[in-house]
Amino acid sequence: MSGVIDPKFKENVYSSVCFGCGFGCGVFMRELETKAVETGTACGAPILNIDYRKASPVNQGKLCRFGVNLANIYCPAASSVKGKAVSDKEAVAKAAEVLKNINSSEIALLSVGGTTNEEHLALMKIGEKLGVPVNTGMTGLFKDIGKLHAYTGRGTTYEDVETAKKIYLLVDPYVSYPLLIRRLVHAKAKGAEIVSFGLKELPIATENVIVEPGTSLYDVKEFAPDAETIIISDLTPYTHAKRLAELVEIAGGKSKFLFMRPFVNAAGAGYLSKHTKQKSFDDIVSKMETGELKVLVCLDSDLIDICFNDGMKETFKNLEHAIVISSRDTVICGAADIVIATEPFYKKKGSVMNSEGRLISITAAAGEMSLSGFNALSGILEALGGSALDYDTIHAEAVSMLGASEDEYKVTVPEKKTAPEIKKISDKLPGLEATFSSFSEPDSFVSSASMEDGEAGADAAKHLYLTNPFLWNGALDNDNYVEISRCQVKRSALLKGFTADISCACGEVKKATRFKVSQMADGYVLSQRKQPFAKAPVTHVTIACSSTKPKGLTVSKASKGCGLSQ
Amino acid sequence: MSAPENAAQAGTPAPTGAPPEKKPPAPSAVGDLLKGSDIQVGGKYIGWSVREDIRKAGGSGGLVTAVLAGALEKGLVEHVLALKKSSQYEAVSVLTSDVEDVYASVGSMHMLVSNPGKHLRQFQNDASIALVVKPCDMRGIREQQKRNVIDPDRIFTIGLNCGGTMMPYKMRRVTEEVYGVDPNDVRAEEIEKGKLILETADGQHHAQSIEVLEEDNNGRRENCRYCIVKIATNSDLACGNWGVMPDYSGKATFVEVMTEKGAEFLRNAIDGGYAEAKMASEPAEEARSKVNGVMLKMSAKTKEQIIVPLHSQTFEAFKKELVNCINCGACKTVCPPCACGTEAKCTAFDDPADGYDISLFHMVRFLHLMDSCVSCGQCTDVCPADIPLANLYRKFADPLQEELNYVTGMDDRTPPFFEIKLEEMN
Repeated sequence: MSGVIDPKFKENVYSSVCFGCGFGCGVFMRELETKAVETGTACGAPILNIDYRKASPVNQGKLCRFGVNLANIYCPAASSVKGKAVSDKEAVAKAAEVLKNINSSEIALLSVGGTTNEEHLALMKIGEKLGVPVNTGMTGLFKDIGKLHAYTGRGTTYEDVETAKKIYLLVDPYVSYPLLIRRLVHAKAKGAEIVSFGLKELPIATENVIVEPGTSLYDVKEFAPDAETIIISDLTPYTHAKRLAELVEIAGGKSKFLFMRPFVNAAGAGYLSKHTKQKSFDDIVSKMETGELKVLVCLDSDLIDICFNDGMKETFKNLEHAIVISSRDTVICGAADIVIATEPFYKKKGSVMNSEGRLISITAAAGEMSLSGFNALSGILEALGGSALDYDTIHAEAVSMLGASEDEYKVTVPEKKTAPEIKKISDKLPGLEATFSSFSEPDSFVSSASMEDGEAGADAAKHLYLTNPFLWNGALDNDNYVEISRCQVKRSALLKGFTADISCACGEVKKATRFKVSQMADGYVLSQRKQPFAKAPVTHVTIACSSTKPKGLTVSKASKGCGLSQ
Repeated sequence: MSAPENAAQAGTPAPTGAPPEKKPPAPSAVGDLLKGSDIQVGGKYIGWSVREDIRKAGGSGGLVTAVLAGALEKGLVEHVLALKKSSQYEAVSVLTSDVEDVYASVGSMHMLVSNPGKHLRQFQNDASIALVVKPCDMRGIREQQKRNVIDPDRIFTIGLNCGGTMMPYKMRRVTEEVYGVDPNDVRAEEIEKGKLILETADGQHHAQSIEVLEEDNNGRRENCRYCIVKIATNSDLACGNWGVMPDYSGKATFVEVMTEKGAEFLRNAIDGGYAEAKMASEPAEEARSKVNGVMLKMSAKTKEQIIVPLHSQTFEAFKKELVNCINCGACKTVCPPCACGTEAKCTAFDDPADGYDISLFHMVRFLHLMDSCVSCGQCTDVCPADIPLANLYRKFADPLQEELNYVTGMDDRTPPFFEIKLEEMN
């Protein structure tokens, strides 16, 4: 006996969905109910393991790096009020008390799709009672493009990708949505033309077209979608409205779209909330900064993790009450005044909708499902004078609102009304840099200081994030490096085996940054994890060779001056 | 208690004066019902559950279920890894101490590809567990035992004959598109005489030739098609329906006792009133060997078609196969013989910041698994880029394992790499 596990243990197994992104990968979560001497996690999580759900119509048992490591990423939240541990019931009561005594104009509710449809809808019921909408963080896009929902690609399945003749990629699937890769591999094997429009050359593409973030798609002659094209892009809090408008204008009437989502139920939350008048992230953050917003309720939505600007933690201090309802212990729990801890996502009774528009239920293969999150929301509603919520009723309402089949093997799309006429609006929308530089300093959703022009030298470049599940969920991976083109390496006089010092106009410098030479556009730096020098989607930076020589490395005369032979 | 035997089919002489009939097939079993004390290591028997409902649901007499239930209820093990089915296409193995879970897991599992060897590891030898395995599962477990990861004294294994398994999602699609049947209507499946037979809720049987299915890449997983171990003689009890003659067809299981522990568990099932058994007849033994021989011959032929030898492949070909790797690490986490844990040579030498043309992670694994790959195909199953990893591993493993006549996971032989002595290389 190793003494690690009590022999009288019980195993619970849940047929769940990976919460890393909105792809909707099926996964079995194994939970050992045991007296654990060592749990293997510092945060008190039960002994968890994943298993591969080979019958899943979405991923057939395959997972990306995030999914493979899912069991290590989960840490349970704990209910608290002002940092003091309390029971879940007490936390619910305190949250209700706060919401009861505040003007509705001073409250914002946020649910980006980090939890089930049923919990999202329950929060919407609270919103109705309070007279405030539930914000999904995507309104910044929708308010500009109006009827974009008609074109968000629901119903274009991953299997459709496999049989497409032409695929336009506006995301890097290797990093952002890795389970797309096999679909593209199959499509390519069947002869599909795959054109990537972006900064990096993708091995899966048959043609790579370098398109910089600020470039208008109208100016890209290779971007010529037709009726046989599937366009794969994504909708994230950082998606640029102008680019999205151009996509719809150029291809909306003829091509199919598949819009990937960054959060597990971003599609479901988006569709449930689509007729509500929401605020954008920027509206919410601006009101937090000015003090107009006094209470923010976040339902499995970590605004601090989602935000590239780490000043967001400070901004939270402007709130009178930050109420966090969370199934995991994430950064935002530490900044909250009230934390209502709920059951882990993997065992929540409920459903999510993935990027295809597929409704997937979370079920138990062994063990019990939990409704503690749903019941907490119901408790708040009751305390506000509403009626207690019945799970089955709310589930049925959500399914009806989504117009989806409950059979996960079928993607059902509600009957489409006549597609709205596409009016050209992209020319009226601000350009990329104008959009992101309009934010105020210092605590806004993205920082404007980092948008200021850097030095226009050979070592100047623009930093962009390659968003991915680890980044969105505040988890660290082995991605502590940036990617730079070979030419940029030479321009910045970087040396093989050395590191780089990267700085921005905001004054932040990251010394000794590891770099990888990639096939990509010159003048850019890409990274997959949050960088102190990059607080916006696009940041001007300067790159210099670190002065510190790595241990054991000898620099020959030939290699000085960056004569790289790599 | 009632034996499932069909006396007429079992070779009872025809009444005198009756017209000459075709010679009846040989019987499966000989002699009377056995007592527990009759069971010996090396013995071959025909057995079945005493419960009619389990015999019916089991498809092959429910002997395996009976042995597991007996082991659990009589305290020979604390737990059983049982398959929890949610449909004919989906199941997950779950640790249980509830005998009802064991009874509920009865039935064929060609489309339920689990990885019990890896599942076992999470219990860290802290529980005594009985489990049902395919030959490749057991090979992985044996390789882990050699590396001191799984304690053989803490597990009891029942190996099932295996002609191959199929990926569940793919088979759902095949059911719909090839069989023209709603997958939700399928209640049972069986492989018989080269056909995959699906039984629907209305009692109808729908059959397709596996050979034809495989021509369209709709049949067994690639590794199963060239697998070299069809009977799990590496487990405690090797069970299956090969060798069960028409007299007991669908009603009994052929079992070979491979270890003393296997004998103990079978005795327990018989003496505890869970199972009955008779001695297997010689024709039954021969029939089992014959089926095995045919299957192995087919495998050898398929292997020639599928595996392109290493010496005839270029480095470029490997680069091309691996170009879409997303560095998820799933192939390592599911690999049954891999005993390295998180600190491994394959990960130590690999750095995503490197700009090498080919993944060092995979290069190290190709070499490291040369003496331990059990050809189970789990790596291919879970690869999110659909890289044919098992095929690539075999290119490296086959030459070494064939040269040294080393069949991984079949016995306690020390892995070849453990025997390398550096001084011999000079």
